[in-house]
Amino acid sequence: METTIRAAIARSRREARRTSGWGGVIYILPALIILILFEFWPIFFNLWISLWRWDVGPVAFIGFGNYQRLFGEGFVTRDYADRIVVGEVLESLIVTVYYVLGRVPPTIALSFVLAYMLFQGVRRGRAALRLAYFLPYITSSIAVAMVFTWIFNPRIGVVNAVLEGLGLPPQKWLQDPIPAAKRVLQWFQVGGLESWPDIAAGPSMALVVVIVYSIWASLGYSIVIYLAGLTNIPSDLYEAARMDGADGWALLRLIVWPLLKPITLFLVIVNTINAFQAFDPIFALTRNSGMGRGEAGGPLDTTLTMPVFIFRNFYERSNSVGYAAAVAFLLFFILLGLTIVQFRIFGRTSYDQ
Amino acid sequence: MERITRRRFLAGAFSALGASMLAACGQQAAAPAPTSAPAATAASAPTSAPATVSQTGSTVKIEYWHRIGGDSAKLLETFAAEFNEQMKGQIEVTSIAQGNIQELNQKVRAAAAGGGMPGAVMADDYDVTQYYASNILVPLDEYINSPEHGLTQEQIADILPNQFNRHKLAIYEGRTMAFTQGFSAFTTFWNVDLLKKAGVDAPPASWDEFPDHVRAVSKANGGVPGWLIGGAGDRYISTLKTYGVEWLKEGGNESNFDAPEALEIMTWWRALSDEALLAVPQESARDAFIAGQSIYFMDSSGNTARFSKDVKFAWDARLPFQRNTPKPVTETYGPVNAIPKTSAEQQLAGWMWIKWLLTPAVHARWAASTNYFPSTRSALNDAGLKAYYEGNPTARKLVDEVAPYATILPPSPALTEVRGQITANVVNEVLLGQLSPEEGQKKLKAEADAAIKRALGGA
Amino acid sequence: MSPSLAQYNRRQFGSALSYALLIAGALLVIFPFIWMLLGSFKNIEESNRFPPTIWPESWHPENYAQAWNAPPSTLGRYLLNSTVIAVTGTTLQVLICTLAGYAFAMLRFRGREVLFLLVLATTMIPNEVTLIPNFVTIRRFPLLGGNDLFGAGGSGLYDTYIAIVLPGLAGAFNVFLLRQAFMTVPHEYWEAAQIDGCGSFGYLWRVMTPLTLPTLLTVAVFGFIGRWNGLLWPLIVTRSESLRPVQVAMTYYQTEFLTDYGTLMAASILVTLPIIVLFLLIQRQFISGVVSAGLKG
Repeated sequence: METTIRAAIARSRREARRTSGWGGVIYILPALIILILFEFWPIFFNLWISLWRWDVGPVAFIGFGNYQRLFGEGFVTRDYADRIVVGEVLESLIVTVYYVLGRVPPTIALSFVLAYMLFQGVRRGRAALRLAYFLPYITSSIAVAMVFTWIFNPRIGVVNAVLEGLGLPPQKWLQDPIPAAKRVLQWFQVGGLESWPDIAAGPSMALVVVIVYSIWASLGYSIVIYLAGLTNIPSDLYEAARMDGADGWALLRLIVWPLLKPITLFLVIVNTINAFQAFDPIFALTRNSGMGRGEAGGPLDTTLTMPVFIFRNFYERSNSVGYAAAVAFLLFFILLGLTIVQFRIFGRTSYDQ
Repeated sequence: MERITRRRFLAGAFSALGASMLAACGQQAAAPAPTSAPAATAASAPTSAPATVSQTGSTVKIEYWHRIGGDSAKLLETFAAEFNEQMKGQIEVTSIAQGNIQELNQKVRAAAAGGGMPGAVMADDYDVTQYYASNILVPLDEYINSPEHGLTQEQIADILPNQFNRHKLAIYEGRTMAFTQGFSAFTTFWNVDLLKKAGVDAPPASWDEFPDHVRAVSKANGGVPGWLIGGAGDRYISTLKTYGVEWLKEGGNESNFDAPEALEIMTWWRALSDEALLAVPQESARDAFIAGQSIYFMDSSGNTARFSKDVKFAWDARLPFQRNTPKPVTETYGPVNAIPKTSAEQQLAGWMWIKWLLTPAVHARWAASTNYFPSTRSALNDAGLKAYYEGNPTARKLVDEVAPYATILPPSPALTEVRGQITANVVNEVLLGQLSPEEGQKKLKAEADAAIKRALGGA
Repeated sequence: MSPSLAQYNRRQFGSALSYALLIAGALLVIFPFIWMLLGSFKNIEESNRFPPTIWPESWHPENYAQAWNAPPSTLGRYLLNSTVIAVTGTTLQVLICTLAGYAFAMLRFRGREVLFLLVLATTMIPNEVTLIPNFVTIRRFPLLGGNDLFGAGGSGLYDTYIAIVLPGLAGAFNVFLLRQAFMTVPHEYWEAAQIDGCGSFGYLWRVMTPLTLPTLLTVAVFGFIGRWNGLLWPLIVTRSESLRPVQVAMTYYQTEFLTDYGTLMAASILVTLPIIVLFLLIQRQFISGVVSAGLKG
């Protein structure tokens, strides 16, 4: 069945090519102009900025100086005691990876499960349930972040109240720079990661809270896309399979999952890109982490993902705008590379739906 | 519900688009309407007769960017309306709130790149230094000394010297780069009731006695924390200043964090923190103090306004503890006004505006609304301000006891970073036990020096 | 959804379990909103209490009045701005992206594959990179806002609704989604249209669009939400309160009402409610569109 669909599409595409050579360009012209003006041109301007020492305005042309700094002391540097430590760029990169790994797989898995359950298990109240799961996505970062900071407030937050009710120790949540893994081990009074440097021991508690918020906020998008894909699966497929005696699990395994693979790939890529670029949730949640002066990036830089790091260098450090531009380029190429790799690994199924 | 037909969808979309296009075009030139002026009897500010500002004879329109919120922001709009009334036909000022410090910074950077600088801008001290280093500000001396538009000798004498010279510094080659509009200062507040319960009448005389004093008072009050610090980096540097040690060495190339006092502060902070008597809480150390959950609170003097309303217990405020200082000293907080480089007309208009803001009656209203210390002596004689102080007597007391000793930190383009990230991070690491005080001091010195070097264009 | 499928699965899957799990999950997910709603009626003392109360002890609807009046021109102005920005932007975006998606799906022209990859690549450009260059572009826009041919002299498109909306009009993801949707339309339709003498634009207009309405709606909904939640760019590119959207107003609250959670929550509700209401209205169209698209398969 899938092959016939593919053949049909291939045929229609071949036929469509019989239209005129240049006519199509007019259709994409508006989009293209906008993209050139507001996406491509900034890249070149950004490249230009990255070759300068730039404060509030340009100061001096330093060629690759910013890149030297980025790949040099940004990656590996010596600290105040002359020990070799991870540089700030690499540290930010690691934090970003923790964030992405903590956010994307659970989002995909959860949204698939939820979408499937919504799709086939529920008759009444489905609209209400769907609205409920979609709600976090459509509300703004700042308004909802306020509720989250209140809920997770170490002093007066609901979550700590629940914990105390259960006999567990209250946490400092968004104020806590200790890696979550170490904290959990502390609760169970098991040793283990004590000697590991914090950066290597996983996301901090604060970052975990940010991740939870991010998953909560982005579920809706993926659920909706999965739902759309599920409704597009032809029902005769189900009929045929049922008549062959397939049960629920087999259906899931043999029909639903393979047909949804292109959507899954799409969602993985989209969610990864969004996670790497996520700024609003982190900014809104960690801005008043109380330890700085209202700068985001969390307790002791443990939520300083790449976008927040770039932002900080753009606006909150002197003489660092060029540096920020260079780091932004690094992020861009990492994303590009990652996307290409994801494509190669999962095959080119996305285009040939 | 039927599936919507494509026609209906498009009809809906286009009508929505049409409506919003109309709205969009219509709003393009709208300026915000000034809020109605509250009954301000002292509204007429005696300004010198406005000499011609505009070279072309048309009204010079400028913007004033600030980062104030709430009622004081509305007061600024009222001021703008009154100023425009007086300067009718000559200058028109629009006062625009640009959010908080970071957002104001972003707007300034964007404007520096793409144009659209305001006629005058509110800035914090370290911003002024950075803007100066980026060459986007105009020195004010020619305006101050200008025979037509400048300040008279009496007016200059009226301004507190510390405030008048606040941004007339060696780093600016002796030029004045910003103008004052009130100020606040690092102040110590405490909960008198808690002290009484421990049988103590008053806070100790100096920092040396502070740790034991806190231990005693806390013990008598069931272990309540002694000092919850809001903004670890800022307060550390302010405390260092009251020890008589500035954060930056003479010459501005190196930080002063290798001074023994820096280590001392780290050490006793860490000791008290280990005893749970000192901490850096989440959002608000201030609110914890108001709720009676800490003994001391050390921050801007502007807090007297909030406390006189919200605090239920007996409280008081004073100059922060000192040590080794020949003369008492504390740190100046609060923003100033500066003039970006635009056109000659707009710069002059901006100057007229910030000069007007300091006229006694206007300035007095500003001080009453924001609870900043007035920068001029004459403002203190204003009836309105006097009435305000009757409702907030501690503020008046601070004007005598704290305001005269407030000076700013030695400026450097690196100050924002050193204060906000580097110091804050190190102090927190020490308090959390991740670093010993000695290591913390070493790290602070190394990172601050690196930041200075980078900011001065070295690295 | 086909009835037989529903019956079948309900037998096999134990829908009671699914129901329970889904409802529990939903409650957990909307808990912050419930907390927001309840909290908006609490006064400052109660909202700072620990352990926190769930149901407000005393009701303070004046929090809403306070939230409404706090920003310089009252919250209403900002809501209006957000609406204009979201509606204008979304409509234009749907139009532009539909055209582009169609071209990439159906038409052949030189460099199509390369251009499509370039379009996709733009999604990976970090937003911080584009902020200041776009500001410069907006201010130096030639022949508008007092600018001459080279973009000097005036202020270009600075401080207009158009400026807020312009950069996001060609969302690459949307182009991609629409292209996919167009590609699923069976080829027979195209042949029939050709026989009727229909040109490529006519085909798009009369055939493709009705068939892919659910995707169009999806793109519109996501676009609307994105515009409603924009903060940094509108702040940079406007000079005055009369144009600023709701998110900018929210930042005032954060500084003004640090721990007055009641007012903060009231503001949050006021800001969030319109979009929820909108989604409720659209949702039924959304569903029926999705369902009928499914039946078509």
